[in-house]
Amino acid sequence: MNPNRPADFDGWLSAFSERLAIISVELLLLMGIIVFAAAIALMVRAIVPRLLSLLRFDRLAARIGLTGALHRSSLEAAPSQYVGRFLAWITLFVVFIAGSASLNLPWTQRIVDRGLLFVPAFVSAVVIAIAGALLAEFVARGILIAAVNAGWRAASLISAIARVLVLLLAAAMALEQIGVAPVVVAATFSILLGGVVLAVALAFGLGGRDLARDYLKRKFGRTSDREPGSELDHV
Amino acid sequence: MADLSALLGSTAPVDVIVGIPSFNNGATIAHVAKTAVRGIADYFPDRRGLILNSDGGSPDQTPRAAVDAALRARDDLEASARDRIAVSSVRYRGPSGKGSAFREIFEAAGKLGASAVVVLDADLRSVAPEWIGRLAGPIVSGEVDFVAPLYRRHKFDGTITNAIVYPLTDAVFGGGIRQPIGGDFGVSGRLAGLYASKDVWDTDVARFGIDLWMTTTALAEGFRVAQTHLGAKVHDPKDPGQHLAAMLVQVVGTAFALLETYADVWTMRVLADRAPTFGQAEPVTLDPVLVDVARMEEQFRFGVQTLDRIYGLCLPSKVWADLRASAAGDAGISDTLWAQIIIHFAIAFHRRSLARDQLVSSLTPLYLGRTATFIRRNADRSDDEAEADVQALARVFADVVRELHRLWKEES
Repeated sequence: MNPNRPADFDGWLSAFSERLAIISVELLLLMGIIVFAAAIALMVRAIVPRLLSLLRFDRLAARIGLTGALHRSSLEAAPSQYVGRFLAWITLFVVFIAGSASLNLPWTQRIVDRGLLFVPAFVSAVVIAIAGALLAEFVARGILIAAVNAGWRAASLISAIARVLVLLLAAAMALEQIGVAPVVVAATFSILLGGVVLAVALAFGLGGRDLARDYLKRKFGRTSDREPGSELDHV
Repeated sequence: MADLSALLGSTAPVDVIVGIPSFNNGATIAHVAKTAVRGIADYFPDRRGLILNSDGGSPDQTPRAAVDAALRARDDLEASARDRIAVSSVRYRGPSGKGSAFREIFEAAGKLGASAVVVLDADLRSVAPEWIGRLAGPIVSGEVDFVAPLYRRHKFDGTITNAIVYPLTDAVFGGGIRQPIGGDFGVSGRLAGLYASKDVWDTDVARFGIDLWMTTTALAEGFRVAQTHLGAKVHDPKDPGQHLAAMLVQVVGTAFALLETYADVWTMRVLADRAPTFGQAEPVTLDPVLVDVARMEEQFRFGVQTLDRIYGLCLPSKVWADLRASAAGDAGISDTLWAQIIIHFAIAFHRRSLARDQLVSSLTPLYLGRTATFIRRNADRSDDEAEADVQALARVFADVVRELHRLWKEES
């Protein structure tokens, strides 16, 4: 023993080595868990799209407008691929949380507590967002077709406004689910929606009914009150 | 108003039934009911007949008007004729619509053992006793099971029939029934029994689309079909509140849905025999029809420009490119392009590429474009030349339908 080295340094070194060994083992175990979770997630990502393809999910997605909603968001892959990726991430997260819980460490316990609380809210938010995107697509398309058939020149604009409003509502609901400043989100949405309604009301009220009518007729109105071809007995 | 069971006790047996579906037709049904009585008396003097009004609960006393008028007409007949014609009215059950009314009539035909059933719209103003003879005669004589009407119409009327329903039905099922959604039909008791037994009376068939369903069912199920000249059809003006898109959804949606119902028949490429045509086309005077073609074309171009995502989804790239080119030019929509559009919309309907009502509704601007093309092409032509143009379109459909067979096969 070196007579110049303080006795407590040996104790510190020993404790440090012991702690380092424990942390190393924990880290190794954690890495093992991550690798295991990643492997499971990769399997999910590979298998789920194939299963969904067999079940003709992509055709269903096209039918209900999901594919169109994805394309509109520049997401060009098949919907089954996105479902596979989403489930893979959820799997990774859940397996990691479950593995961490098995280590029974204070800091992993904190991750587990927060993570497990977050998963249901996150899944709900994603479901709300997807449902909102589908609904927005359906509503916007229906309004677009009806407006075109009615001869409204601003059909695309009206349809786009309807899409944005439904998406805003869905986004507000999804953000509220995951607890992102719920008060701010609700207030923002209320202000936006109220603003739109107020603007329309002002256009018709304060702006003058005649002016609003003339403007709307010129901009949005049909060139005639009669439907094209209404002179015919079509059937 | 009697219910069916009471009617069965008092009326059976019956040979010929004239059924009149109604809802709020109090102003017009009396003429139809009287004509039906005279038709049976004049054309089936040795048969027992029944005038049966099938009403949807009209608040305007339609059943009373029908029964009273028919009874008065019967009272004017000789005693021997009076005894063999019964008159009744029933309130139909099920969803409101012409189909539910027909169901009641078909069931009555089965239970009363009728050999022929004629159904007439309650708002007809041009119906004549000979209509009963022409619609029921070939059935009573055992020649056929189904008689479709053949009206004289203005060359620009019946455009959904001319541009879509007739050529599509003829190309897919055969038969050559020129007016498959005519509204007034003759049906054998055997076919009426089949109609009544079908599990469709809680579907859209009960509400709308019954005419095309009846025609297609007769063709696809191998019944002997025919058509008969009836002259001009004059009836109440159409409901001005009913939009073209809604009409397309009902009529074309039914036509596309029937492709699915009878896919196992038409995909075997077995076409029904050409239906014989009874009677002669009599010259009639038709009111002129003035159409704003320019607005229809404007609507067509606006639709192609604005609904590009939808058309791009439903149509293959070549057809979509041709459609864009036709919207950009002055030539309109050619026969071949139109047939291809309809075939691919039928496939998109089958695939459920979009919500079905939205899909068919989006066809409206294209239909207006095609109608404008037809009107421009036939503006200075005679009725016969315009009819030849419709027949030319039907031949194009018969060619293009091969594509439908191929695509349908890929889907299954």
